[in-house]
Amino acid sequence: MSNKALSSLPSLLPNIRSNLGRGRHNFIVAPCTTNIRLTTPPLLRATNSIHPPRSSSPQFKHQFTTLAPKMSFTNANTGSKDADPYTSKNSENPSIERKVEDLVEFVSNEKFGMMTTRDGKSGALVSRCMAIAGKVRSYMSKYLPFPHISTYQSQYGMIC
Amino acid sequence: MFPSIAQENGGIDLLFHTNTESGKTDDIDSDSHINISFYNGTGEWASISGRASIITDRELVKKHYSPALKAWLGDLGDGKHDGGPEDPRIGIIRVETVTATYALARGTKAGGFVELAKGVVTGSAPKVNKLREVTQQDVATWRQSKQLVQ
Repeated sequence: MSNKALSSLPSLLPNIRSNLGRGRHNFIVAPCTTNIRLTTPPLLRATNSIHPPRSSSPQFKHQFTTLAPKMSFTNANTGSKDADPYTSKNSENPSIERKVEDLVEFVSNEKFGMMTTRDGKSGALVSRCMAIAGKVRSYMSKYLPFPHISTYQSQYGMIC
Repeated sequence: MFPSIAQENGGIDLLFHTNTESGKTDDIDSDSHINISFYNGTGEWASISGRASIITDRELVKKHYSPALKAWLGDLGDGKHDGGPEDPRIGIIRVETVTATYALARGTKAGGFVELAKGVVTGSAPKVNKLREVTQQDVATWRQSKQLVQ
């Protein structure tokens, strides 16, 4: 790559990076940046460093700050034996799509759930029952004399 | 006991009606961490951990308004707090999922009982559930895939 071509690259980088923040381009652009990083001469690397890392972008604030699993309490040393056989025997990790769809289906099939909130002043955790619409409709129409209860559709097309 | 009204982002986020003058809005205002859990008679359960926000935007409230809300809020008879779509007490709690854990039954109830009984005798942990964790990263990937579809 000529020096001229190299000098034009830093001006392109902000564009590439600004696209990173937009979910639509993530899958496409991310591999490209990896290539650039690998072939980038020291000058470009220095230019790169003035841009905030991807993880500090507000859109990814919650998505990339995962905590590493760490055991903070233990009262036994089982050596090479599995200390929690129930969890390891029953855990499974199918595709993300399968996991989320099964969760949504399960939630949608339940009539009631418990909502737990936390009182910031005292730290107390408080639960209360919340009815799940759609499922509760039959319950309500059975016990409450409503002539008409509408069906709702969210903007993403999920009828509840 | 307000009904939830919708699910967003491919079902992963939940919307609930609320009375803005109830205790839960105070709690959420002071700490947005929230958990929504479900359990059924066969021992299957789900726990959704997320962040909650309270929405009082009239357009969204009206979009999701249900006449059933009158039963939960009551008509105070002052012409304003009537449980109707313009009643300022009606708000929406949006729960954005951060992580979730759930367990679905692996086989039949009878089969699960046999597994458990076997476990008691042999000391081997029963394989009865599909225990799954939806991580923060899974949720992020799911959201992105839903955005791409839009």
